Amino acid sequence: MKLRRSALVALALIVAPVLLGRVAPGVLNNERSTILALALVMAIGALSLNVLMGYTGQISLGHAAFMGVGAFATGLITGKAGLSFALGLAVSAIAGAAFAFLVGLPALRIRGLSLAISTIAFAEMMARLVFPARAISGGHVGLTVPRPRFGSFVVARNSDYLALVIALVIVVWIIDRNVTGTRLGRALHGIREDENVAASFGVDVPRFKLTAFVLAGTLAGVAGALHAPLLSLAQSEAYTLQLSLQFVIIVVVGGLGSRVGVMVAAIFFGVLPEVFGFLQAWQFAVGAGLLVYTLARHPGGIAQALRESAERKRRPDEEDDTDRGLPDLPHVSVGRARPESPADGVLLRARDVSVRFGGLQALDGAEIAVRENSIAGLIGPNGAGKTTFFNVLSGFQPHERGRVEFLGRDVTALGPHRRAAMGVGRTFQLAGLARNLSVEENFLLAQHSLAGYGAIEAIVRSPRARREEAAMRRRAREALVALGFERYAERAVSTLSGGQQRLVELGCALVTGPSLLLLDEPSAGLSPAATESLAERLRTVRDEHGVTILLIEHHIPLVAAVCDEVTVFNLGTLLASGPTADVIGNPAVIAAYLGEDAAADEEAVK
Amino acid sequence: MTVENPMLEVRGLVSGFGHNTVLHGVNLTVGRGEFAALLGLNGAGKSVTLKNISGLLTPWKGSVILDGRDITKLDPEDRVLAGLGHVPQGRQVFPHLSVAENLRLGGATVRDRARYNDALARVYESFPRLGERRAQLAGTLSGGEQAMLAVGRALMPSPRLVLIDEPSAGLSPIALAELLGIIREVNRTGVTVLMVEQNTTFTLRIADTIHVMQKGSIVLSSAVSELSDPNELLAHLGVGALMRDRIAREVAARRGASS
Repeated sequence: MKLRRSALVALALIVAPVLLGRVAPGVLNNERSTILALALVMAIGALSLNVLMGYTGQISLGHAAFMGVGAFATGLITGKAGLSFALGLAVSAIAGAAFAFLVGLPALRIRGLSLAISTIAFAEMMARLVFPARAISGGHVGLTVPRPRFGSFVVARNSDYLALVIALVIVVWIIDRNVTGTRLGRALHGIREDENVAASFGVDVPRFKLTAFVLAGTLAGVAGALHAPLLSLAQSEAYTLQLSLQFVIIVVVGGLGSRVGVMVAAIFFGVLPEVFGFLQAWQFAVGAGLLVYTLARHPGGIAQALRESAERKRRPDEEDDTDRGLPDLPHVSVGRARPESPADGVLLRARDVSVRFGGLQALDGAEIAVRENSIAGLIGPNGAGKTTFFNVLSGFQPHERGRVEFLGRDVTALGPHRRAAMGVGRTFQLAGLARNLSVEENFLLAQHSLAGYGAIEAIVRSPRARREEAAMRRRAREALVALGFERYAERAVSTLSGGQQRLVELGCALVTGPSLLLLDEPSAGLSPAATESLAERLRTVRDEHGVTILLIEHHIPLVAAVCDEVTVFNLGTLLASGPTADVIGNPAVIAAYLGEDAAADEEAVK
Repeated sequence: MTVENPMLEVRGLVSGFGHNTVLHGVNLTVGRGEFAALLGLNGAGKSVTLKNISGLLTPWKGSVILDGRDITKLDPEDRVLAGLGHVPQGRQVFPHLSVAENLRLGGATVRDRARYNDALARVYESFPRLGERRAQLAGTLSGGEQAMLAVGRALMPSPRLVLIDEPSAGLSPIALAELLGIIREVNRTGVTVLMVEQNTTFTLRIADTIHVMQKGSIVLSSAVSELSDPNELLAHLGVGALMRDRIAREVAARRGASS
């Protein structure tokens, strides 16, 4: 029903200019049609830049060049070769994608300012050398581009052309929506928030960065394919740094990452100077002024201003309820067959693991064995290599020596997302969440490696994409319900208390239905009462959900209370391991880690 | 508790973020040369209180008086000149600068060369480990050493009062014990300390007075040696079976030591 209504709206939007141009040519005259069509072409260009800057956090200051590639590709195909506009459009999209792929390659290594400068260099090279080349445009005069022809019908009337542009805006809009609502968009958002966090959730960061560039290039190519026939000309001067900066202004003023905001800003910048004629000469100054105002007052742009006025109406001022105790932790089933217990009862085993960072030997022959259905502790002084060891166990850290076995299988060669899919879940010390994304989005992002559909399937919403997406949403919902966090589902993680964030982290690890849970300092920042209920909850996860737990922890009372066995690292090597009480009483452990005070505390409460 | 001629007096402090009131009239007095600790659950307003004292947040109502001088309206940098040091949560050393450069930035407000050298020598004396690593980049220090650097940096302008926000975060027990030991030594040289901490056992072992916050107000202020009934403290902190014995023992030990 809903789909049919939006389809009707789309159809009406396309038909309206066709009819208006004929019935009321005074209202929608040639000039107004051109202005609107240009504004909407700019909107497509800005939406494409938004994919890069807004969703993925990659700066491009040369975006106009991708649009230029599309404009000249269409010009060559429809003008010089006399072939169809549809072919021109397709080639423009592909050419935009190809160039964006090339520009995206360096983005895998460089970021921030260096990336911005390299995109400027690329765009300047295109605008000064490639576009004006005799073979392409016959020098600076430019290339004449005919209006599209469909059979014998030529889209000569500007109001008809506006309808064509609107149709493609709708297509781009749908693509954009399908990107943001799926695994693809979440992966891009994750990269924008923190590449390490994204990788920790199993996102193949380089691949998705390139995907973002290719997608942006494709859409910019489409914008170019529409731009040139509208002006009947493809000219290198049109696609310079000035246009690129205009796109940046539109995206920032509209609101990075907001489809609606970017759309509104593009139309605003396109239409306003034409309505107020005197502004035309000052267009760039007005844009710059608005940019400064936006950055100073509403860093989230138009989108943020809209959101804030909506939020002011409902004030969520719930008490933080985690301080006095934690809710039940979620038990989510992912439909993975329960793995067969390893013959020797050891679920996770690592042997002889060595990692070197430059001159620092972070791990030197470290080892651990975690029995199935146990809670094991990993303790040691700061800098002992505990977190590095966790990275090795979960597959993030390449190691020069050593072997990791999970479920009796050698997983040493497997990457982090493969291990996550096998049932290794983990939390990260402090920075384990995409802080500006909502709780639900984090729960969905955490399941990234459980779904297998790719970028194309996301964009066309294939049956598999829909099916897997539904399963992910169901599991995220289960986790929200178990934690009693339904009312926080839409809240950005950064607006939650430390205790609540810790629960979201645990939820992210558990939503993938792991059989092994690696927890890095789960009690950090929790109140004493919350820490105590954490002990209870961890026991439940072990006893009732059948999850084995390995935790790094400095809070010795917690370790003493929940751990069956404890392993101690010092300077990257094994210092001691065994039943908790024995290890805590071990003189070497007291000397290197516990100190006399803490050891005496534990002795006294035995 | 009445304190004569206090180092810090906070009166009727109301503050928060946006529409959210976090502090509902905080009253807090820290005596000269005292080691005071601020305890309480997450979100009780401990860090917000510290930030209002150091000027990183502006009070909506109430006043902050440092050594008899009203500093409520001063900017954070002027509060440093007035004798205040702040060790922020999460330490926040400059990771790409060396230990010595971090300390130099801490002492940037000290104009007098002799006084600066004096302060630097004292920091290196208090924290010999920082002296050994003065050329090392702060980001490559261990957690415990970074915590020492954060405290040392705050001590560079020779403050009369230093605020320390959760030094224990991410530290091993032995590193925390060492750090707190040094802070205690610094305190004995006459620097007043106000520390926010989650680790109740360690805090009770080291502090002179504790102030417990709940939902934006102080609900308990007492000298540690005068805590007659540990149960009141335990209830305010929401402590259960796991920590109860440890904390009760600590309280008893301090009471025994003072009598």
